[in-house]
Amino acid sequence: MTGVPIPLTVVGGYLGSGKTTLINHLLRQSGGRSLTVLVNDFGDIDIDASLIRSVHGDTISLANGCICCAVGDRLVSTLMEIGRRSAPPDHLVIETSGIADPARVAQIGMAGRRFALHGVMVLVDPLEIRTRWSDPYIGETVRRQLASADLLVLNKTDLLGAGDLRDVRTWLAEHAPETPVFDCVQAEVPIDLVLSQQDTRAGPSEELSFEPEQEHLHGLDSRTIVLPGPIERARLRRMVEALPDGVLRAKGIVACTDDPHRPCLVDRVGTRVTLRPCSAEADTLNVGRIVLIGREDAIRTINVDAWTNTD
Amino acid sequence: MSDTAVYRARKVLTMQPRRPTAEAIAVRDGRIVAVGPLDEVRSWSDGAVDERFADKVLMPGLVEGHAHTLEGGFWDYPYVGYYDRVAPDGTLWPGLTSIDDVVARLREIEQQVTDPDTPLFAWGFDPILFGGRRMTLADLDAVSETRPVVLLHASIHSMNTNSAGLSVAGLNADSPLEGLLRDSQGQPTGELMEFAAMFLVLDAVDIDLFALGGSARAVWNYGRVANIKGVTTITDLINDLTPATVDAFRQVTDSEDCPIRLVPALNGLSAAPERAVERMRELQSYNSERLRFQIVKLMTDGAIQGFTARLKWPGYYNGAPNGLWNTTPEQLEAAIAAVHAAGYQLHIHTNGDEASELVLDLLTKTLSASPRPDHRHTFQHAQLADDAQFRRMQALGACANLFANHLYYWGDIHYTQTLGPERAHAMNAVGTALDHGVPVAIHCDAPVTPLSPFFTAWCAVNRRTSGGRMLGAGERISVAQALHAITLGAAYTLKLDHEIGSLECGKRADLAVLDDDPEEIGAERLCDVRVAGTMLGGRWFAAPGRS
Repeated sequence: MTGVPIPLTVVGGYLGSGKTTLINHLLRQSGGRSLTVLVNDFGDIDIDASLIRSVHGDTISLANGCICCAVGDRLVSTLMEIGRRSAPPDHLVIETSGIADPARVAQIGMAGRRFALHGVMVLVDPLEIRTRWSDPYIGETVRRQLASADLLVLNKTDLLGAGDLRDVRTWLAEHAPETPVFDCVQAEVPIDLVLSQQDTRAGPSEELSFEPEQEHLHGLDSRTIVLPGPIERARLRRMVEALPDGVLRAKGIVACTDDPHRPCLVDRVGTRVTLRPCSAEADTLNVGRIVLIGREDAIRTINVDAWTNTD
Repeated sequence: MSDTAVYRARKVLTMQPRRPTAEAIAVRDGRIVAVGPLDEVRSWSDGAVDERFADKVLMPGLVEGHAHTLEGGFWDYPYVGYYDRVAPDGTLWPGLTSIDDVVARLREIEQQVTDPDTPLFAWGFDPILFGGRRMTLADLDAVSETRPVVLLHASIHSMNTNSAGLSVAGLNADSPLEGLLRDSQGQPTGELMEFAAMFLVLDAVDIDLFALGGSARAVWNYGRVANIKGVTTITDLINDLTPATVDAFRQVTDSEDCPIRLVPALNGLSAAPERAVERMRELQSYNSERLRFQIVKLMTDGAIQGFTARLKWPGYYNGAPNGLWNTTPEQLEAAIAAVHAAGYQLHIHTNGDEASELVLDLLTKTLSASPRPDHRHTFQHAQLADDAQFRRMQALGACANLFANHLYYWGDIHYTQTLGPERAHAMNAVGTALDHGVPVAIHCDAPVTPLSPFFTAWCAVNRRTSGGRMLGAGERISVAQALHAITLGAAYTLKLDHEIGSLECGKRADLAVLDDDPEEIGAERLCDVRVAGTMLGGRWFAAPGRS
């Protein structure tokens, strides 16, 4: 078993919370990445016909990747097949079933050699979440789903008035206090929040920027930290972990003091931080830069001096 | 009048209650043309009476209403379980009752594998039966320090591996994996629980566990195991039924040498309900004498001994949190409604009483909206269904296929850990189900427990655990009721009772050919009935391992 692990995003959430809408959204704007997406059912997948190259049994091949229907036991076969591809995808997205605990699948990316967990996004339906939380049949399931999220996506916010939305946010802050929340409509999550950065295929300027129109759309802001030189690995992890909750995503290429010639990719999705080595061909232009994306208030409070201070 | 064979037997058990026994049976074109006194039966043929079964007892071929072809797939690998098991070739694999015995057997097998990189895979190991001692890395490292060893547990939801197995999967003490069990020093014990941890090791050794049941070879082996135990009709009670699997099933069952009729059930949650129904229409075009598609299986909860079944109050005896659903109630409701509306039969897995309750509610809703006579939707396992739930099943026209083997294999665990005494006594309440007029079958769920309907019948009649405890004396049923459950009773739940399950004119000539008379051997020894072979559609299949 050789090669670099494939970054994995797990998309969870109860039935009807918008998982498939999010998948459709990702497929439309994968930003030059090749994606493999595992879904429960093709039924509601909505792909521009011009992107479809072929349909074969449980697999739809696209210009920018493929979608596989992989439920239950077939998930095992499908994952084994993906891990053995001569041209692995840039990113793997697994949509879990509406009843599943996303953490159980996400574990395959927390050890082993094939997959590296990038993050667990759990969608929340603001109209239903409080009822489901205490439902006698599925309450525990919903509570496990929320607990497994690195980033909660509060979807369908257009269906609530301002007061109700505030109530749901307050409720979420009480019931999932550790987990950042991203508000959206139609599961329109900026692609940068979901997918991993690439160290080779995309150009540096394209990759490390953040689309300005999206900032305004979602009330997000971004900021770039430029490190003066290599940083100690443990300190890097500590500092990324210590970023405020309103920072929904951090990504960068950083040289560490223990191996400065082999920079590493640093990612934070919600609360999950991962450091992994760059491939050999990494673009060195961007080494030392970390882009932070998050709510305007949080981004404003970032203390850049703390990062650039070499003490 | 040619081509009619008349077999005289020591006794024929017809399972037709008004004519329960006979002396002889006549077979023509694969079907029974007569059963009765020899002088009446022989009037159908000019030929000589066939005396080959003169010292045998004939009864309808046994029907296993809940098992999986995975049983056949597993036999490509060595069995190292606690209980005796018979391989497709008729060889007895004796149970291994200590961890040292398991290790010794694995070492023997290991020494026969010449290629140093081939992983060693074995199955059937049940880690909870060794009095508190668990299998460790050191145990399996003693089998091999270099070759990955993978020991699948009987539950299929966990396994053990050795250091080489962890290493090839890239796992170590630092791996932040919940399913990687650790000792008090934080070191991996080699025991791996649930999907992710198991996947990482199985992927590394390149074994796709769940694909093992989908090959023609697996179905052949499945047929042989059935043949040995007197079974002529058997289910494969949940399958995604991919085109490759269906091809394999057709290839085997199209052969005259196939000793079984196979009844696969489509996994109804493998696609949206409308597509599952569409797929069933397509599958039905493949129906043949030995292959029958008409059941859709739905999963609800997990297993009691894995603490994944959904229990009503007061929950698990040892305080474990309630179990896991496999699907949302909304999706379950949509699937039930769609499959019912399309006219197919639902077999629904419910282990815990909360799962049974949910399905009763959903079936009530569907049947109220669109009543359908004789649907025979069947609760599978329903291990904790109580009086009231069986009354509701009866009122709905539903059947129950109860997991009688659980009483023996996990009864002591249920008594002491999962359920506590009272609910352990009340579980798999075959007696109550019959009292309330629910059509009943009993099953083994192979490969979860070994296939053998006479053993399953023995469990329902005696309700003894492997430790010797009797669970729920009041739920015991008679030998006659148990024999009905493993023949006509099971056939009824498969909607095949007009073709198989009893010996009557017009039915298929499917027979279990026995050395012992199950009516005479005695309740205590019902599991010891010896099977010489079977007849399927009038064709004789000697049990492998018997001449």
